[in-house]
Amino acid sequence: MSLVHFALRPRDGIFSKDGRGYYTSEIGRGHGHAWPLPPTIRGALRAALGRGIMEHEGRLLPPSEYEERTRALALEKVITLYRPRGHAFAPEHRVWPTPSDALHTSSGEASLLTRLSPEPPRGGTLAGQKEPALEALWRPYPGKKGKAQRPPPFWSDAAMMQWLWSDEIPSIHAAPTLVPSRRTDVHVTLEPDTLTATPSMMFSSEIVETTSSEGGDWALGVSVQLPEGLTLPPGPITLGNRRRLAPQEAVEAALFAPPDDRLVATPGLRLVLATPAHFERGVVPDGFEATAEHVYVGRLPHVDGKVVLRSALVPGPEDVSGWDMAKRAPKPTRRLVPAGSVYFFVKQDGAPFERAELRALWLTQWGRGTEDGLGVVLPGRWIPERKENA
Amino acid sequence: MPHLLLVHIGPVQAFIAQARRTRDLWFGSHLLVELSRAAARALASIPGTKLIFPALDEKGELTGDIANKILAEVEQDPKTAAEAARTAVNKALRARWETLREKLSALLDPAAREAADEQIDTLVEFFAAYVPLSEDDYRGARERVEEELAARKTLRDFVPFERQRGGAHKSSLDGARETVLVGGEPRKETRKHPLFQQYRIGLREELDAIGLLKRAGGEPGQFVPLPTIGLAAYTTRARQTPQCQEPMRKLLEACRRLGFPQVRSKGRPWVEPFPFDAQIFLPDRWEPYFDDLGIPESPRAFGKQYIEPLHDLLGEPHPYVACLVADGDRMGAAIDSLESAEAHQRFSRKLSRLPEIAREIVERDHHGVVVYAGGDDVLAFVTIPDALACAKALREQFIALMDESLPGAAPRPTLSVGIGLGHVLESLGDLLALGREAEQAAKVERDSLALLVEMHTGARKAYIARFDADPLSILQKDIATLATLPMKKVHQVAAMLRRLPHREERLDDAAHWARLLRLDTSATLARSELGAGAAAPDPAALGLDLEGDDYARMHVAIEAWCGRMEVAAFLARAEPSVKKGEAR
Repeated sequence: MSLVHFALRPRDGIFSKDGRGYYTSEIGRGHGHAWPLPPTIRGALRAALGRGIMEHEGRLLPPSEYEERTRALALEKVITLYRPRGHAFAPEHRVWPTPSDALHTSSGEASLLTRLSPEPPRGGTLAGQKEPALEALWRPYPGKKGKAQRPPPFWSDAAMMQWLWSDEIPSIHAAPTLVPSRRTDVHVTLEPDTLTATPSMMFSSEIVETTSSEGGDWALGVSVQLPEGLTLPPGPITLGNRRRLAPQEAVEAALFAPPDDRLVATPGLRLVLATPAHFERGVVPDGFEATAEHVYVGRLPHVDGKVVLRSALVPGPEDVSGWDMAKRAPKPTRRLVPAGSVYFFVKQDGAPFERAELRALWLTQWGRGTEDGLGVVLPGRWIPERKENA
Repeated sequence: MPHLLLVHIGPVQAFIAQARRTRDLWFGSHLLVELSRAAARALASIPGTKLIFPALDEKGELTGDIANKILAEVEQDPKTAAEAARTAVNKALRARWETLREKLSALLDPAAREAADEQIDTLVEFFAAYVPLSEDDYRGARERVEEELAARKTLRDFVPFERQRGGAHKSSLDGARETVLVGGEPRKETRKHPLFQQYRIGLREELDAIGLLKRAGGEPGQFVPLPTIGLAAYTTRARQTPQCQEPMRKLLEACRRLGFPQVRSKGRPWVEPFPFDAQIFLPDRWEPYFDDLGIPESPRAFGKQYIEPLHDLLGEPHPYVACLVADGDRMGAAIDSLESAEAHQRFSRKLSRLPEIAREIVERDHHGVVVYAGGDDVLAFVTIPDALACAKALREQFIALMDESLPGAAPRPTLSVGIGLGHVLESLGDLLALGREAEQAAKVERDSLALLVEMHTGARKAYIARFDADPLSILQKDIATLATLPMKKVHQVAAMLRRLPHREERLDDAAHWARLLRLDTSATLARSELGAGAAAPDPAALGLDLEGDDYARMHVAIEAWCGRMEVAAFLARAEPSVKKGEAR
């Protein structure tokens, strides 16, 4: 296997269609995800790799062979990038999904950002699953902070690093507006004889713009393991539905490197999902089991000893359906924990999370579907407010 | 010790927002009310339990649409009470599905039975929170229980789907759950059972168990199709116009002869002029509509014979509809001021009149249909020419209801109304999202009206104003202005504005730029396209504020004016006129 890094710069927007098909209204509208999911990106890379093999060998690969020979391609890291036009990609151009432990509110004219720090439950609760350990997880009590606002989809790298590693609240609203705009592409079917539009055959798709009117470009930074002896063909890759062109651009490995100047040992750990994560039981991480005291205990990659899951802030599932290009059939739906969700841990023996562990956790993958770029995490500091219960 | 118990049932997205047809939206909303009612009844049946919101009426019954949040005072173990509510909700949904499953077995893929059951069993999002309630601290306990529920909802746990077949298409409504309908090709054969047509399930449409439950939960004809609401002003005008009487009579006769599904008017007199799906007034829909219903006759011949004569008299209809979303302002603060469970119960009983009031305003007095009215929320679809008056009437009646229900509250709740204006053939879910977006825009300043137009091409226009600025009169005046001021002028002003510095740019000579902007705007409006001899319009008379030397403020005002005029032009197009082109 060989590891390569590069950026994909979609030139004319991205259409990453969800599982609904075009039959969502009387007039055919394809709906797109807010931002392409990692499996879509891996699918595009596998297609490019397969095309490269075919070009090299001068023959068409049957679907089964195509599937087999590209399967080992693994998407290790995916980072969303936004840079001012004309700049080379650098770590400050990374943008991250807004963490769910940040509460965005407004009060009068002012916008507020509040850190949601979980603490032991104050009252009793009961939810859909008959699992007492879920009800025993800690939860945040921010008090009344004004009117809840819809958070932006992304935070800048500077804001996220501050959020993860300091007590200060970043100034989100002073940052550039990190909201990719959208447009609707309308298509018609033409009658070949008359070259006029066929009645009722109009359909549309939701496109995420990748060039901003404020003078910036959106891109995807990827770190990919390629099967031994194979390389991706140079030139654009076709990404998402309607195969929109996305040229490759070289990037430095520093784009994926941990922020060494910020990492310090911490009594509690936050893991923010940089990409959605897939766990066998939904929100409970794989390998974590409830004890008789209704506490989830398990292990994390690169962390010594057992850890206790203290809290999870998850805004519901992200259901991902895909298309199997080899079988030409829909894939089963995976219910993922969305990017931006936050998990809180302490070590079972009360020891801190050491710097080396945090460094190893930086953009590591957690859970299932890691070859698809799922479960990429960002570690962050957490100081539990009620340590005596830890 | 008594406890205060708060229950939330969702997810609203799956019940309401995922909808293609009116019936999906209406029945999804109805189902959520039904499940909330099951939870409330289960709680009410526990000895020592007192429902606070919703409150039982004087006869001890639950009336009106019930919100998906239930508050009760419980004497017994609160966890057991919450479990009883959860069981009641799950049983009610299962029972609905099992009845339907038998009735619709011809539509279902037998191999999807387990997947369908799993979809039903994993749908409901149930959360309950409870805190002790002391005699003298109702307000505190209510705040704590709200806080506990909000804290618990930061973790929306879920389980994976384990009964998927794989290789199956996903529901056209939610894109995640597998279809449970029979598949295979050719679809005209595999889906020829009359139930497919009866429930208007398209040949290429896929529905999961929840989607099917929503589509087929009610009876066809019970729901007014969205185009019939959107085009209600047009069909009413056709009924009232003497020249249209004969073509309308012939059209109605043809619709009956061809067996078009009929809509029951049910207290909505405006449905009577054309009790069918009004999409047939749109030439692009003739062919697919006939195809959907399996009618062998030529759709084009039908259109030419029965529809085009009406187009000749009234023009083609403006195929847009208003999704009206209204929500009370500062309700939380008003409820926080209630000192006891009894006071809260009294308020709940007063508020429970809102659904009836909303239905009268929307369905009887205007050309519209209420999808949901409960708590302080109203969701309705209305024909565009009635939308503004309907919003105004709702706001006035809501304020009157609050005056009566909360005489001591200061400030008293007001109503913000968002109106999303979209194409009648868009999915209900997309139109609802547009309406909600407009509502959010109206909520920024509260007691406001926001109009958000989304053209079929995706282009958007918006107008937001507080109700006390009388937005209806302003827009009516603008519509009158557009009789003499061509829209081209508005577009020219907007284009000129784009070429000047953005309002957020730091300008050393802002006063100079303000003067330039004022002169350029006046000059653009005064150019000669208005016709020979026409006087240059006075910007102030057009509602365009060009006073002062604050460049940024003037920039904002002109941009807002352009947006408002675009919205006014859109509203003008929606008003059917007897002579073709008169309102255009």
